[in-house]
Amino acid sequence: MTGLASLIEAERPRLADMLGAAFALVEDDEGHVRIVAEGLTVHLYSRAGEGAIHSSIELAFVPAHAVPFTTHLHSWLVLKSRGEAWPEPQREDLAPARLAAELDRVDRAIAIVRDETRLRETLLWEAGYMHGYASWD
Amino acid sequence: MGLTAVLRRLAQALGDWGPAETRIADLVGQDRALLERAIAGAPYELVDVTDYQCRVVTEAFTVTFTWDYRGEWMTANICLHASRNHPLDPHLEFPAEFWLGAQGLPARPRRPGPKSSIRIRDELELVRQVVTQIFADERKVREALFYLDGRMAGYNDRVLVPEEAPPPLVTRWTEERLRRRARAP
Repeated sequence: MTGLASLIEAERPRLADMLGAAFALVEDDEGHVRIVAEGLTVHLYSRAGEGAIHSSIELAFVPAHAVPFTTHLHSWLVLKSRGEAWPEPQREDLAPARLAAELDRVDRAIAIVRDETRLRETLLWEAGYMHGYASWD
Repeated sequence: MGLTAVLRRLAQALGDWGPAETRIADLVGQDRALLERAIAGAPYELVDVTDYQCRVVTEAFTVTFTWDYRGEWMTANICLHASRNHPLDPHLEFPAEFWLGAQGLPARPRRPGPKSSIRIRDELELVRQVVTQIFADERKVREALFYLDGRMAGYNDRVLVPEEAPPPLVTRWTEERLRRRARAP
């Protein structure tokens, strides 16, 4: 088990609070761990030398809409869609603290995506974000 | 009636832009029935701002029609006035096509003729779609404003100077997602 997976393993009680008792930790590689739960998968990423631990949420289901929705949202974009600022740069040497902070963000993001109305709004915001980013020229 | 005014009337009657003195407000107000249909019959005031810009102001929204200085393109920007308990500043305005994009609605293709009444009709039709298909529904308005806020944020994040840019991780995620979307069948 790599460093990231070990750190996440130590957070099982907290993960159970967030996701319920039935979830599985899957280590894809030393920089990518998935937490597979009912209806969604949380992806945690940590790249060597990058310092940051970040995350995304992959949904089993998104509502139907004429605007094409993604099923995979970066947690920081979910929170940005609700008015939160981007996270501050993270210090390299405090991995447990970085993971704890990221799990705070994951927790808030999950609360958003589990609410149908807020999920739809966030998915629209994300679709708009991609459209605006791609159409700048 | 002077010669210039006569020529202007003739040009408008022919549905084409005439002398450079033609004001956009004259063309927008040329067919009042069409204009009123576009804004769902709301009471309005047509405000002549400049030669190349005019506004149609209703209680709920304002449509700003603008020509570029060469008269090569025209936009109808729509600003929704009243706050509807939305985190966005309700006084922002967006092109009619952006509002339609928020509901996955395609904008009708425009026909050539930059200053002609044909273009005015095309723009009024876009406005009509926004007013009748989005503004009439509170939920669609709220959702549209989320989409539009995201669209502005994405555009700004792409062009902002580095110290104001989003975290590199987000940039990388966004660009990878766009690359995958471009490759998708």
